[in-house]
Amino acid sequence: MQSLFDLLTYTKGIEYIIAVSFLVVFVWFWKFAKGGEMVTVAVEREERVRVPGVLENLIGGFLLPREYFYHQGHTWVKPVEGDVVAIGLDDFSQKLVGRIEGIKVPSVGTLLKQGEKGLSVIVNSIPVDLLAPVDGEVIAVNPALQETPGKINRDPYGEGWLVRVRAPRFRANRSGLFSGELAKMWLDEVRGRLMTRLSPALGTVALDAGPAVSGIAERVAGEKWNDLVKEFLMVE
Amino acid sequence: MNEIKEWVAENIFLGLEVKEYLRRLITPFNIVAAGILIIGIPLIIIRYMQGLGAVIHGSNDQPFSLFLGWGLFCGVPLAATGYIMASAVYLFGMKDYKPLLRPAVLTGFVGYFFAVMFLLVDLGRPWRLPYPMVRSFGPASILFLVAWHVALYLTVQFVEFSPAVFEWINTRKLRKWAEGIAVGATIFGVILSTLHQSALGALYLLAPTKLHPLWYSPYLPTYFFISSIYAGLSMIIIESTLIYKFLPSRVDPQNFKVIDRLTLGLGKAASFVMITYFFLKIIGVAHGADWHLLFTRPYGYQFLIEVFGFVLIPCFMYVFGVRTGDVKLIRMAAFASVAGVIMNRLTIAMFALNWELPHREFLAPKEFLVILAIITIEILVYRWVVNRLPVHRAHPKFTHEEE
Repeated sequence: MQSLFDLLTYTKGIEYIIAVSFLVVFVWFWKFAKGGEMVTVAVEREERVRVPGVLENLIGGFLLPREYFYHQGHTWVKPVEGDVVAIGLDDFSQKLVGRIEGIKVPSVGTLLKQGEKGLSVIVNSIPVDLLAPVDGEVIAVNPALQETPGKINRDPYGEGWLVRVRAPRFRANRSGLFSGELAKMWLDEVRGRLMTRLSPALGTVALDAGPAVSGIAERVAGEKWNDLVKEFLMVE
Repeated sequence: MNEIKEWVAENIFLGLEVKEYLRRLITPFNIVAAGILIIGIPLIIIRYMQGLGAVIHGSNDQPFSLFLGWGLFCGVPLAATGYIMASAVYLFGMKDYKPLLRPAVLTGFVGYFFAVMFLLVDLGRPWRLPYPMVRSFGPASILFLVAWHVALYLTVQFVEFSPAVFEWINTRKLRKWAEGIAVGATIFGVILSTLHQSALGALYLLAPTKLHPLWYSPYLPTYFFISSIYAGLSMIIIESTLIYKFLPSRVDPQNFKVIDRLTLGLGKAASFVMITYFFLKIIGVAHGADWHLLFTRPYGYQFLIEVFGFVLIPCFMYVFGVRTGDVKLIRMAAFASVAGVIMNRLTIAMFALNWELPHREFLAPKEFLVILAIITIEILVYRWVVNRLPVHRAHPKFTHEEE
């Protein structure tokens, strides 16, 4: 064995072996370093298509699944069981505010009132208020969001739900919510209002086909993003 | 006249009354800095009055001593930030990294400038500084190369940084001109950097018998160049970490949102360079057939600690940080990598040179104080510039002229 090692040393064979193994290691290393990113992209794509019938639900670049009710402050309601409903941010609001860093929601037992502030998400370290879409008592807070608030951005209508509420007045509240064709028209109008704010230099913020990008408020209004958010989420 | 007064008040005294400005200078950091300078500057003056030997511990056995070991051999790779970032942004078109371009160029410029200061203190007779350019070339001397490289590269770095200076003094024309030649200056700068980063290593090709075999290698110039790349990348991470933490008011708020992503990008680049460097170091050992020296005391173990502890481990810290998006880990890796480069350069310049001599001393208190004083001045200058010039932020008057 010693003589083989000597032979490799004298003939420089060992240097070639190291050089070739470097190439192998480097390919692995490269894949390893890039791996993290590829996984994220894959997850994002997978979660995007989780909403059934994406394309017909896409209004001006924003997802608007049919089976949900929408408040004009861009929160959604979905009946879960009996008089219990789930509440969350719609795709427009999560894209408007951009990356969500945390949530600030009332504890279980708190009463929410339709059209009044009661929930908020943290963006750029600033709490962004949201209007409650229904009257009712908070009975559960999405535990997963404490750890990974990014779920709201990734899956606003699924895993990104904020709270569950017992809403005995849901039937009455429904008159203040959009659904079906009305919801589409409403979102289209909101999108139009947003478009008037875009400068051509902004590039692809909202595409005519395909989903809109995230963090629109900041791209449009820069430092004054919060004012734009307040205006569109109607919490001025 | 009034205009100049206003400009000085706004841009030199940060819009404060002179009294108020002076009052605000009294901070714990400044008091410590002043203490160091009160001791250090007289020592530098003594060096010019009584000669180098009065304060510097160098000798024929230790030609560079800690003074140039730190000032030149560590200072130059740590100032590699400028050419790395300039080539990323201007040559490879990675415009995302623009928020880090000026800080990197400034770090490079200040780093080189103070490497020259160290050389000036070491050489003495500063009025002879232009000799190699105009009076007597002396191409047989290594200093001929040093003088020309450093003079040219300092000029290039100044040109690269000058848009910030011209914005500061509010001259639109000159700024436009400087922006116009940025790409040319960058290309020239990369050529010069490649040459002199490796030239520092090439210096030791003259001394194969003096340098410990584990560090001596015909690949030394390559090692010096490649390690300067990840040293530069790591220094950019460290610089931004410190400025964003200690001088957040000087940073464009927008930059806070992208800095984590950019740091991850720099970390990824550094990890690729470091894994390559690690294998090259192993090939160096194989090339010299130095395997038997690896487990000897103290140099073998020191080599292993340097290559595994301060190259491979930070390399993996970088790559894990990139994979998990852990920016904190990346920042720790940056500090470890820079420590590794410092260790490598000090070893080559001091510890592993003439390693067979029986009795050697490395630490001399006066020399250490002079070094400390020059580093302190360097930090003060850097802070002075960042506080005034648009380095980490766009100048309000020139915001729309980007691109």
